[in-house]
Amino acid sequence: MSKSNCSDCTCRLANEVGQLKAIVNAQSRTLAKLVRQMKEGCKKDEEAKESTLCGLNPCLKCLQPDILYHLGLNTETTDFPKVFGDVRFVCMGGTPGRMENFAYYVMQEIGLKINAATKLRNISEAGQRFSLFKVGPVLCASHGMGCPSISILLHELIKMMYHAKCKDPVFIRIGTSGGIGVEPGTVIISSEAIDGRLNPVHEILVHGVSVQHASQLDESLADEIKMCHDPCKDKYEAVIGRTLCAHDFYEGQSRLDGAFCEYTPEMKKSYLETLQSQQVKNIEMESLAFAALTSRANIRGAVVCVAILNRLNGDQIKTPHDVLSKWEKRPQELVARYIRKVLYHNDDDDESEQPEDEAEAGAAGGGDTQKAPVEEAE
Amino acid sequence: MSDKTVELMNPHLETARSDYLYHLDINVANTRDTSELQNRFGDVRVICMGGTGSRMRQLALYLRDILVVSESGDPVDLCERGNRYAMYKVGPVLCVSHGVGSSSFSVVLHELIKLLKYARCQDPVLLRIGTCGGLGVPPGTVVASKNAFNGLLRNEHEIAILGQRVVRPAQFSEDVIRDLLAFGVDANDGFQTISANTMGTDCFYEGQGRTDGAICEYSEKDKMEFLQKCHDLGIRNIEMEASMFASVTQKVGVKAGDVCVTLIDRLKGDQITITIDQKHEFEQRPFFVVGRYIKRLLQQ
Repeated sequence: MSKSNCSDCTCRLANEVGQLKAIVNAQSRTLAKLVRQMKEGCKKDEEAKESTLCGLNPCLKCLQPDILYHLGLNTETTDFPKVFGDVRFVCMGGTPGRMENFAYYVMQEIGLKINAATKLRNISEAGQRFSLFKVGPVLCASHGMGCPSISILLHELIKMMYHAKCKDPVFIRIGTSGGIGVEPGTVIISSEAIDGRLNPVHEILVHGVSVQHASQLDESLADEIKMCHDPCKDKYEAVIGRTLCAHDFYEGQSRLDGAFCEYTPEMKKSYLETLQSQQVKNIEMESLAFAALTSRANIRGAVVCVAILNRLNGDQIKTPHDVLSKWEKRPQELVARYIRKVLYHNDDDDESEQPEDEAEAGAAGGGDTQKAPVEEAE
Repeated sequence: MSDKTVELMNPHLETARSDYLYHLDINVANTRDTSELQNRFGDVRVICMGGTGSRMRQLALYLRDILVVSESGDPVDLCERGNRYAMYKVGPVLCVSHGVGSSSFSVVLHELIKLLKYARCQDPVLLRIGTCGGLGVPPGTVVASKNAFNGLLRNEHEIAILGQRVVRPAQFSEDVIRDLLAFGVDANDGFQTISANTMGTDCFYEGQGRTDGAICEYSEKDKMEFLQKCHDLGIRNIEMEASMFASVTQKVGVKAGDVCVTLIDRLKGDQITITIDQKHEFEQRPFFVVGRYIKRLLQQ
């Protein structure tokens, strides 16, 4: 009896050790690849010092230090190239909680999680306005609601990319929206953003004058993200379409349930049907500023939102919270697949890793969130 | 006693059986019998609003002291499940966060105004409390806004409704401004409180003429010309919510005021360089002014 128990314990221990070794080996291979990618990125930076961003403020070079006030960061106290130089994806969404959850999800999906106790730190806690989490090459930021809020974040993130000398970063907004003629739960990838008067331009007022900027989003990026959708396995539809970006949730989106309302249900219906006839699939409140600013900076951008209701059928959100929570994860899953696909496009090479690569992993520098995994791998 | 509750100009709300204030996560199950909401919120006289939840929590703690509201422990965020805004109640005062900018603020403002109606609050006053850039006034100055100008330097707020441009006037309540200065100011404050015009823009960087944004297509000279033009209009502070806030409250006929402390004099630079300690001290100043105003208001 006792011999039998000892034997079982030994077997279980052997299994666990085997599993742990496999996990550590997989993590080491992942880290080796990431390190190699980072080194390649650095080499490219050294070779061609010009940034891929363009249209930027010529005065940025002179700002010493540059204070990213709302992020609570500045170039004097933080070494941007060292901390953020490896960033390849910047994902943003409305609420801090949702983006923190997404950060942990990405950590899991790109294989950076070593153990359940790994904790992410809000890098922008000092700024008090936005949350910012870094998961290896992925930054996750909350942007609040509306174009005024997201435009502040975008200016400061774009400056961060510049100071950190990031190479070809991709910006992706993930969120919720009201749908137009689509089944609730559908994921809409925006082709372009249009304003409340149905023009594909973002108007800003500069020095007392109206200035308009084009608001198309990157077509190839939208297609790449859509290709990550599996029509058979996924229980929802993913479509590419136009997005109305309203600056007002109630009147700007033609709701009947605001504090005041001066149009009839017939007028509202007519407006929404006009939107539908112009291939508008959803309404949200940030895509214009996002599209215009990323485009002006030569940054590929995408907006991926789930529709939580069909506005042709009503104004108020009646879906239970637990269903909404599931739907909110859909754009996150899709975007995580895209990121994984880009990072591991050479997945077949996994098994051919050499031991020297693992040694290379041990020598890695990298960002805040990667030090712990390296140490534990050792 | 006359009824001074909020009247809404939305005929559709009269016919709706229920209403859901989604971003606040407050359900009005039966719009014809709102006794539950009246019990919870009917005593509200003032709603204070500011950008971040943490600052509204600090304001709640401050007001708890000066209004002698006997509550202990952490203030409870009544809208936590809504995930978007924070709301704290201190006796007859609500403290609610509104995020950054007019878009975010307009969402919660509509829902708060509906809440005031359903709860049948009497003669409410809405106050925004925050930080801003100054224009020809030293950092730390508290400004009570009079007329709110938009980025085109017009005293109005514009939104698109059903694809058309709609323009509304944007002035704050004269009696609120008068009383803020009469009762909110103390000779020993150590800082100045003034009434002046305010510019509310939708863009912090280009819209406010900063030269330190990620993208900037004008010169320092252009910027100074613009800021001087603002100054000539009596504008002494720049922020991002005033014109929308004034226009919506004016349209509904609710009293409102906007009280912000300046963190920088934009005629002298674009980047905020005060220390963190100074910032915390400055942020308290509108609390003092608004706290005294509320205390006096509740005594009437």
